[in-house]
Amino acid sequence: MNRPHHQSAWSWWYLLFVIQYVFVLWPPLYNRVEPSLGGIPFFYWYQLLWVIIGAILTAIVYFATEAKHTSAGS
Amino acid sequence: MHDINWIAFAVFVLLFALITWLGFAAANWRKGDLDLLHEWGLGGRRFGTVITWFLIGGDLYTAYTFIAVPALAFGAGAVAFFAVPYTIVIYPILFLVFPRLWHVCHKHGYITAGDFVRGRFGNRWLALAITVTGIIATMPYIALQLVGIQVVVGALGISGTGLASDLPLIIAFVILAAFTYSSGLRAPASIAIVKDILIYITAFAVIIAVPIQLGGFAKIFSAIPESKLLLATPWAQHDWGLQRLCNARARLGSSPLPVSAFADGHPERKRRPRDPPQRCIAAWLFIFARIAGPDWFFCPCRRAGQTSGIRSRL
Repeated sequence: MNRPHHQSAWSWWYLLFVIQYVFVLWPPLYNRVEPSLGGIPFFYWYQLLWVIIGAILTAIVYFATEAKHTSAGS
Repeated sequence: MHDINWIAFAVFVLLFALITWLGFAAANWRKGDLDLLHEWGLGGRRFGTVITWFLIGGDLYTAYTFIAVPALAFGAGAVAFFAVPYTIVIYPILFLVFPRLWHVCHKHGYITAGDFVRGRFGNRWLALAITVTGIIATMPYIALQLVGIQVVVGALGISGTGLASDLPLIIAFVILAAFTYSSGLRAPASIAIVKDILIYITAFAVIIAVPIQLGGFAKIFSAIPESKLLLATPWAQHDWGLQRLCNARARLGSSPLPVSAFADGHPERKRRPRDPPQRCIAAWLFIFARIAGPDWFFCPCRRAGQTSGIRSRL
């Protein structure tokens, strides 16, 4: 395979993405009303919370792979 | 015509005028020779991180976010929330795939997904199939936008029969087509900035103003019938997760998104080509927390309004 090596580099940091897949793609985990938060049922605020957690995980992966990339590439 | 909401109508006309002007003015923005396909279709690949961020945002949060999902939530309840995990799930996929796609397309000068497929697999028919699929897959989406514009025009109180009822729609689409033709991708890119700002305003209104109007989230959610508050059966739950994964993958094929990502270009930063789209996508993830608002609350809010008679105050 004639791939640009710096593009296809695998990083173990990518495994962090798996976490959010598990927690949002298994509805029995959160398909309930209690505990509600400020009048919002669990089902709803749990998903919104995972938007934020997912963003944080993505940021971690981004900065981790970015640092690795620049140190290895330059 | 006597029941026109004049304030809403004035806001609509002003925004429409602004967007029309912006769409045509965009032709001169970062000027390039618009006879060249990559200048027209990808803005000369010179969009920076911020513009790409707006453009991708404008692609992701659309009539689907504002009309289809809230409508489903209003009618069917919790099932419509597939849209939230779906968006959570798609970002990592984009994050991993798009930088590489962008890099390859940038290097070989591909403009569309079809170009990429033809270059990568060397098969014209496969490229044609991908392109035709992209166009066909966009059709229901355009239909949804037409319905959306009709709803907006109807909400302004403008009504008519026959051709007159379709006239605002036809005018809107002719203008849209005209400035896209004359400005290329620069038009949607500049409009995306306005669009994203409007999305923000809507999201904050829905998160802050609407609950205050309707007496808090507890009241809003208590107005939802119990059968629609959560997902119904175990079968539906499992299917739901699978469906979101498939949806997320399907999003990659939808034509506007790759185009936006391809338009990003930083020749001077070629050493770090994976940056721009990746950064944009990461940034959008943060923003999604807020943007999710409309999907979230339109349904319960409207329902609460209807049942308690508060709707008239909205």
